[in-house]
Amino acid sequence: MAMFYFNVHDGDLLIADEEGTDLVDIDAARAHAVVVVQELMFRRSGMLDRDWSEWTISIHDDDGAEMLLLHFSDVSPQ
Amino acid sequence: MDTYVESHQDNQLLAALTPNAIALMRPDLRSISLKQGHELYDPGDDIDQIYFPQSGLLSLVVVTKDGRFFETSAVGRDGAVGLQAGLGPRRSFTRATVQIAGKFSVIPADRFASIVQDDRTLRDLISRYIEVLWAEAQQIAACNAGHDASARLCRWLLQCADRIGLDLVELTQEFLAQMLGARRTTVTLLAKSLQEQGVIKYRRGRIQILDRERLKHFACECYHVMQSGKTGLTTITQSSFAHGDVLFQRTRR
Repeated sequence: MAMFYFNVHDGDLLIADEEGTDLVDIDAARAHAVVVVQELMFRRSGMLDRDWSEWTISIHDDDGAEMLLLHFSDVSPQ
Repeated sequence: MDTYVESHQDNQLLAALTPNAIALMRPDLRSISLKQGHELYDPGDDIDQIYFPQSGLLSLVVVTKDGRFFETSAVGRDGAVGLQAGLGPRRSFTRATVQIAGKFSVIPADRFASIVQDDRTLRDLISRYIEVLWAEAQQIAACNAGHDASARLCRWLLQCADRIGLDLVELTQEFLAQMLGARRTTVTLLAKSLQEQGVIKYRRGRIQILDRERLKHFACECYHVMQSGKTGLTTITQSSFAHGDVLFQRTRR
């Protein structure tokens, strides 16, 4: 188990995750990131009508190093 | 000054009772303090007491098989839990817990039921309250299906604040996430964005609403619908998505 931090960037401004989440490994962190993006982008009736093209979510470790970067536009609804 | 009655008056249902009804209830109505996390009912439990919050917040949730919690209702000064037991023996459908600590007026269900038989206005109160709860449940179901996490979070924060009568809501992000059916990270990111915009201010377990108007702007219309006590289903469509957007309408303070 390790702490992972999920920062969201809109191409201009950063929303930093200061809390972090305890997860098993980077694969679990990636799966978690995908769900977070789905929750931000989607609702039951479909995608929120917004321009997500520049939005990314990055996964960081305790030292702040970036381990993975995902584009919102690569995430499809669950 | 009769402080015994004064504190019960903090609950809006009790405050609306006729003098005759309150006189019938007073001998059996007590004021108690309950801590956060105190469990009132599990599904299937007999309802043995009716709880009327004076302060604090009760939450009713459905717990699914995989252990997740889903909000069905949050009850503060505006309502009661177990009121239907005034019509006869009843069981709880949901898990009811104290979500924010506070003071509660309580009355044993069997005593309340026998009082209700003697007072028509109490029977009316119960019917009307159950109708309001039903309308709210319909609205919440539509909201959970059709609205996004950020709009629902804003609605929920406003409703909590209204129901406890304070702009300081003592709830953790973990709890909010459970109530919204979202990941805690999602709540953290949305809360961070709201804080950066000066709408709220939070630290562990405490969320202070700073800009109520902006929070209303970001909340879905369900907040306004439920506040005005309207009944019936609202059609949630793309065109009704007219409220503001926490992530896309950010202004820095």
